[in-house]
Amino acid sequence: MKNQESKEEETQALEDALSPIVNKLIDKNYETSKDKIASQMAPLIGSAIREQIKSQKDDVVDALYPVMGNMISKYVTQSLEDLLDKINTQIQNGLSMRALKRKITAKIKGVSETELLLSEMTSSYIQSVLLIHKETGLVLAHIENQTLNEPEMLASMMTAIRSFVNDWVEQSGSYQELGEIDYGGNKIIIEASGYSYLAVIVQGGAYKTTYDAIRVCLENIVLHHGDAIREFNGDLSVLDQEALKKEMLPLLALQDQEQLPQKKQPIHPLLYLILVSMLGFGGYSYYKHYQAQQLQKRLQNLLYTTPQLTLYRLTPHIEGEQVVLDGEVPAQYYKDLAQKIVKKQLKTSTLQNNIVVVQSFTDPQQISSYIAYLLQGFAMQEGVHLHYIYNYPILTLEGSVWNPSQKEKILKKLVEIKGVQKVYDKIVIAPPLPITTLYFSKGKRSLSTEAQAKLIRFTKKLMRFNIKGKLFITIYSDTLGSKKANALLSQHRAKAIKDFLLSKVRVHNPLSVEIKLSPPKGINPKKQPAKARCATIALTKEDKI
Amino acid sequence: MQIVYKVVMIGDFGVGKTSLVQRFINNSFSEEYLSTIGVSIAKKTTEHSTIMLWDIEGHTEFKPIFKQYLLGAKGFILVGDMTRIDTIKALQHHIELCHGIVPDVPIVIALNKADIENIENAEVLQQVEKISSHIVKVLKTSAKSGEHVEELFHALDKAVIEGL
Repeated sequence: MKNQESKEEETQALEDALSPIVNKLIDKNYETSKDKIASQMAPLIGSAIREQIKSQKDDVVDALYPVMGNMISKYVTQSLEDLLDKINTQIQNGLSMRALKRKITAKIKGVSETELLLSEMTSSYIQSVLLIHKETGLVLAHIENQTLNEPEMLASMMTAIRSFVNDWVEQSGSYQELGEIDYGGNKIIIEASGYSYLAVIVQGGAYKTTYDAIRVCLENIVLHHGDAIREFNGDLSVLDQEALKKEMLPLLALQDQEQLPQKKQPIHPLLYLILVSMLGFGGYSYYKHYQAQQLQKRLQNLLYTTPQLTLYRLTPHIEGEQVVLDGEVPAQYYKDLAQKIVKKQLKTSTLQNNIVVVQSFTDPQQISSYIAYLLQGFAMQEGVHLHYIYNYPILTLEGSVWNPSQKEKILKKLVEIKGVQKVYDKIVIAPPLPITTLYFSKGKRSLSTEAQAKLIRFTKKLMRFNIKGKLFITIYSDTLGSKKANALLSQHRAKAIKDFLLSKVRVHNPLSVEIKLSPPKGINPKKQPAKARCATIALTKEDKI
Repeated sequence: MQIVYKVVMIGDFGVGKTSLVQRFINNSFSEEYLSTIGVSIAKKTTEHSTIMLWDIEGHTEFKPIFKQYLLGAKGFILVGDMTRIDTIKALQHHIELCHGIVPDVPIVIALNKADIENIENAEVLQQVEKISSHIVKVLKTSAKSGEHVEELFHALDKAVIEGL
């Protein structure tokens, strides 16, 4: 027992003595051989983590959560920012032809525009294109956007992998080719023909357009360079490198278009709109012009074929939405008729009737007859005796009227006739020569009421025509009874007339009285004694009447 | 002329194919043995040409050489291990395989590991040259010391270019 106790004490003492030294040695070793320790510890750490996950999974999750959470959130944030940037760029170019195309595609395919927009956001970026000889894996030509390290090595490795996979698939009984290799967010698309294949390194997603473009590219290469590739024996100079690269270039251009639209300065979409608008406006204007012409033709034809209007040159014009009628007609009737005909043909246009009514009778015969008609009218007035000579355009008037106001009125009317430019006035003012006969009852010396009325009318006529001449009063007798008695009676009668004219109606004309103790000419006093007992008052003497 | 061609290294496993390539390309050597899986590819640019070297997985009893890798080769480097007679005897089979895939191309043979104690079986070595008329050269090489490594590759390069 004692032995055992002393042994334990020794061990304890040894531990106490060695502990500081061993710790120091470990520290020193750690300082000097960090790398070695790390390499020794590395496999252990892996196993330790696995063991820990197996037994205490939650602990590991808790321990890593702060780190992993941050990492994931940082990655997600970055990705979302990138996406946002791309969407912003797309919206800024919102009116581009691509945007229009997208809208149409969305309608045709029945998918939302957002979906298409998102698919554009994740568009492919072609990094490199390699044309590789199928058997040897040698690079026949290559083009790239980003410098590719050791394309020959990549091509050979790709060929090896492709050969391996194809062989392995073949062993399983089917013949299928390796189509693409994905790594991370990228992929290598392989498109093979008989003697060569294209390896296209794409960053991001690849879409139908990408595959189609690759296929078309390889088809063109095989078409134009197939024979040279088949005969290829290692000498690259037999291949037209420039031509091959030219065939492959569209693939890189595809990337330019999809990935970096902001680098190009595309024609501003407004220019397209302006161009389209101008074309549209031009077409519309031409269409309107054509329609207007047709309408004008139709209206012209219609006016011409209307018998009443055939004589007159009426022209319809189209001014915008308005039809304007021009021309001259001799009467309002024709103007209204033309308006009625044209209006019937119009649906939306308005009508402006500018037709002028011109009443001009330039036919001398017509003018002459119009003058004759007018003068005939005037001749119905008392004292108007006129005739005319019309020698276009001069009118000569001859004849007489009773007073100047009558003449003035007639001339005024005649001058108004169109076609009469000048009037030679040869009209004489010839007042009427009034005469009145007064009858006396048997043996009476005074004036009867009827005789007085006659005298008043006579005097009024004198005054109306302003006749200043001498008045001749002639007293006739029925010769019945004695001469003396008749002579006395005649004197009384003459006096009665004179008195009436001078005092009652107050004529200013001088008076001359002649007493004839005989009946008037042609009157038989025995048969017509009442007619023989009379007196005449006139401007001239009896024998001049 | 801008010549580029493919050369395939063929031989049993562990004969030193990868070591010969490393010596030729990088002028280096490692004692550590790492078996090639599938294929390892290296590029060497010489004065006249670019050689793509396909260093394929060595042949074993259980795993034949993958014929697809031989397609389109303009030359073959067959490697035998001078310390293992069976690897040299197997050369005939490898040459037949090569001709089966790509006839009429030049072949060089490396009898490797010449620096260490070896069988030096004169009869066997002599017979190697007679296997095929396409054998351009047979060289005793050492990837470790670099003996005849350059000559090996240059001999094949010359034969390939002449044959084009």
